[in-house]
This record gives sequence, C-alpha cells and structure tokens, in this order.
Amino acid sequence: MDELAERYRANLELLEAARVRLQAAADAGTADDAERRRLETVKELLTPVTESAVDAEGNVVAVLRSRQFLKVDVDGQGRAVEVLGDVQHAKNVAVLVPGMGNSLDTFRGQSDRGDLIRQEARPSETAVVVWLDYDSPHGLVQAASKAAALEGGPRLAEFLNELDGLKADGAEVTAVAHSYGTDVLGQALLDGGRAKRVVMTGSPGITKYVDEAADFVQPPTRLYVERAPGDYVAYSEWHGPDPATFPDAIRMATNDPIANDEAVSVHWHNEYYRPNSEALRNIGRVVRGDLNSITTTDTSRSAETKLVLGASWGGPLNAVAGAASKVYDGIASLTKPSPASARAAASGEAGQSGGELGAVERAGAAGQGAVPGRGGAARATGVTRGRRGEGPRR
Amino acid sequence: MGGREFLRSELVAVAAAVVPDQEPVVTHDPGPVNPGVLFDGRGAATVCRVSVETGNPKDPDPAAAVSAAADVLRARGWNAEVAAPENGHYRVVASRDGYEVAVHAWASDWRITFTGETPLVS
Repeated sequence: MDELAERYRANLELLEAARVRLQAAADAGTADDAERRRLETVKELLTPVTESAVDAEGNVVAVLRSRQFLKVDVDGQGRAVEVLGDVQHAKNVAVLVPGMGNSLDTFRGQSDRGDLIRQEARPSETAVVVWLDYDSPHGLVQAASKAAALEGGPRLAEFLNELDGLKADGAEVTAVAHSYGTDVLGQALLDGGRAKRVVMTGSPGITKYVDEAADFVQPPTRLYVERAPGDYVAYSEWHGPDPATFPDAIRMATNDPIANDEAVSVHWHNEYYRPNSEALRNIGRVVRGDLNSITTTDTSRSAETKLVLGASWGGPLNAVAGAASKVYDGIASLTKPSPASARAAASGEAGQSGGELGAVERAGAAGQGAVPGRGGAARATGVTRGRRGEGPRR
Repeated sequence: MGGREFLRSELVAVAAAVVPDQEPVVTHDPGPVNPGVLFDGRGAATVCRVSVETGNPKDPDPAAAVSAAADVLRARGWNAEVAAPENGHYRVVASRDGYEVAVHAWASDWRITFTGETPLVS
C-alpha cells in the first residue's frame, strides 16, 4: 500500500473509531444533540461513493470506493481535507477553501461544490481537494475578525506546499476560495503557500495594505477574481481593498451577457457556484488551464449596483462597511434582481472593446502588472468583436 | 415524486436514451445541500444535486453525444442548448421549471456526465 493510500485508510479508521464511540453514547442515551448530529455526519463520511468504470467486456459499471481523506478531526467544529479524484495522477488539482459558518457537519455541501468544480474541469484529469482545516468563523462577530484566517493561513500554506509531493510532476494546482475563504487563502499566500493559479470569488479583501495581486501572489502565479453584481460583501471591503479592483488581477465575468433568457444569472454574494453559470464555468476553465476560453469583465461597483437595483449603493455601502450588521442584514434583505438586470449589470458599459487575456497573461508573467481586458464581459481570445448595446460577443 | 427523485429519474432516462446499450450509473446523489455553503455553512440545505454517468467506451463521440442528449432533453420537455465546444469540452445547458442540468462530454474521456440541481426549496 502506498503512502497516500495508507493515509486515506488511517483517516477512515479515525472516523470508524469515532462512529463506534458516538454510537455507544447514542445507544446509552447520553449523547447530546451535537453528538447525535456528528454521528450522522461520521456515518455519511464513512459511506462509500460510486464511480463509473468499464469492465472487461466493455460495459459501463458502477464501482464503490471509500472516500479519500487526507485529514479528519471529529472533535469540536471538526475538520476534514478530502480528495475528489486521483490526486496522484491528475493533470490539474484544485484546492477549495470554504468560508464562514462551516464545520464537519456542513461538509456534505462543501464536498458537493467541490465536485461541481471538478465536473467543469475535465474530471478524468482533475482532482479537487476540499480543504476545511481551519476553524471557520461562526457568526458575523467572528467573521469580522481576521483571527481565523491568521490561524488557518499558515496551515493552508503548509498544505499547498505538501501537495507538491502528493501530485504528479507537472500537475498544475489552482487554489479556489470564496468569501472568508479568500482571507484564509490570502494569508496562506502571504505565508509562503504556492499555487500555479489563484481564484478568489466574493472576497471581502485580503488585508488593509494589499491592493494589488503582486502584494501577495508571486509571479508567475496569476490571480483570477470574480465579483458578481450586487455582491455586498465584496463591496464592503471589510478586510481590505477588493481584489476585483486590483490592476494586475484577471477579473472574470460572472454572467454571460449574450446568453438567452434561460441563462443562469449570478448576483449578490451567494451564487457564484451555481450549475451552468458563467461564474462557475470560468472557475472550471482556470482549473483545467483553458485560459483562452475565460470571459472577463471590468464593470464598476456603481454601475453594477445601479443596474441591479436602479440606484447606486455600492459606494455608500463601502463607506459604512465597518458596521457588519449593516453590510449583511440590510443589503441581504433587499429584493433580488431579475436575471435580465443581472446580465445587464454584467455587460457593463455597452460597446467597449473586449479583453486580450493572452496579452495580460504574458505581461503579468513578466511582472509588468498589465490591466486585464477593458469593457464588459468578453471572451479572452484577444479578438474584439463588439455587439451593439450588449457589450462584446464571444 | 419529490424534486430529487424527479431529477434523478430524468437524468437516468436521458442517459439511457443517449447510450441505449449501457446502464447509467448514479455517481452523485448525496441528498439536500446548502447551495451557499461556501459563503456560510449555517444556511439551510435547500437543493439536491444528482450526477449520472454513461458512455460508449469502445467508440466515444462527445460531439454526437451532447447533440443526442439535447434532443432527448427537448423531447422530454426541457429547454436545451448545445454550447460551442471549448478545446475538447462539449456541453449541453438545459433547464426546466427551476431545474438546471449540464451535460458534459470531453474529447479525452469516454464518459458523458449528466449533472443537475433541483430548484431552491424554502
């Protein structure tokens, strides 16, 4: 048995021991609600998953295999680091860092979103590591603090560097983080963690003095950022300047400006990882290294908020961002925009030219800090193809 | 039939129609999840996502597979659109009554993956 398989097996043994202990408490009537919930979580983590394979006759068959944990901790909030796919042979590896309110008991959802990313990133060649190895802040008071990021960042940095020894030579690692997860990832990069590419969605900022990618992402690593129309957390710049404004970051589109009325719109802070959304597709493109297919945008905060709700509120929100309750409770309760208004916000100033990501990549890799494509959402082909009134087309 | 069961049955039926001589495999069906979990894990589990895989390992044709999948989906009442291929990635985007389905096929893999999500349930 190789070292990785042994590690998977050892963590399953930890889970099994926890299951026995928690089940005994439940059977004895001494388990509290949290322990009973944890028991159900542990049972689920021990349940094998199903994969498709081909048998000797060429038939597609179902194959059961155990889940693959690089780490589990069933105590307290609980922690887990799970590998989806074959990390030893994958050409691409994504590391997903979740945000606040998470624990071992919410790991089903985290793993599900990790799988969704993998589906977008050529799963036969991609592994996703769902990394919950920090005490995710629970509640706004904790999330207002950088403490969890400062505590967890060094551990993520250590893991990113450890990953070099687990993955295949030449496999490219993309670190993906959302919301408070971007704080943890940003801290990890400041602490020496390395990845080929970095994706941050809905970031409240890294820290006060970080206002460009070069401050925390070392070349040739590139920073890819998403900010959806109406993302009040990103507008708040609660923890520092919004990475979507960094001059040397590649700002990816979250909505497809030319899609039909059935398009999946992404707005506010919570919809980046919707199936079929442009936001998720772009994340998949980065993970699988299909960088020329990325669509970009450079819509402003005021334009996004004006188009979403008919009045500009991004600026005033930014001004009061110190009050967390105003950021979350006030804005989150507003009426959602329509898909049409979200797409309009995504298309930005109509008629501007498209981006040239290839040029941006080259310039950025050379440390020149080039500005990504101007205008609304655009296919990053380097070819400008305007579309009157709706921004550039693909 | 609940939303999760409906979605699973639709994906299995479409997969079976696209590759009739293979039996589809349900590879992902964990039950309700919080779709905003990456922002705040404390939210309610309000959607179910299901994935089904099939394929023709001996003679994969991803372009034909997604075209056939779109046809089958439309015949079953879905709005389905074949996306422009992206460097070996073939895709169908489909929706119906708040359900969202993506069909993925890849030039480098025999598998066709049908993955979908139920509407939000408050």
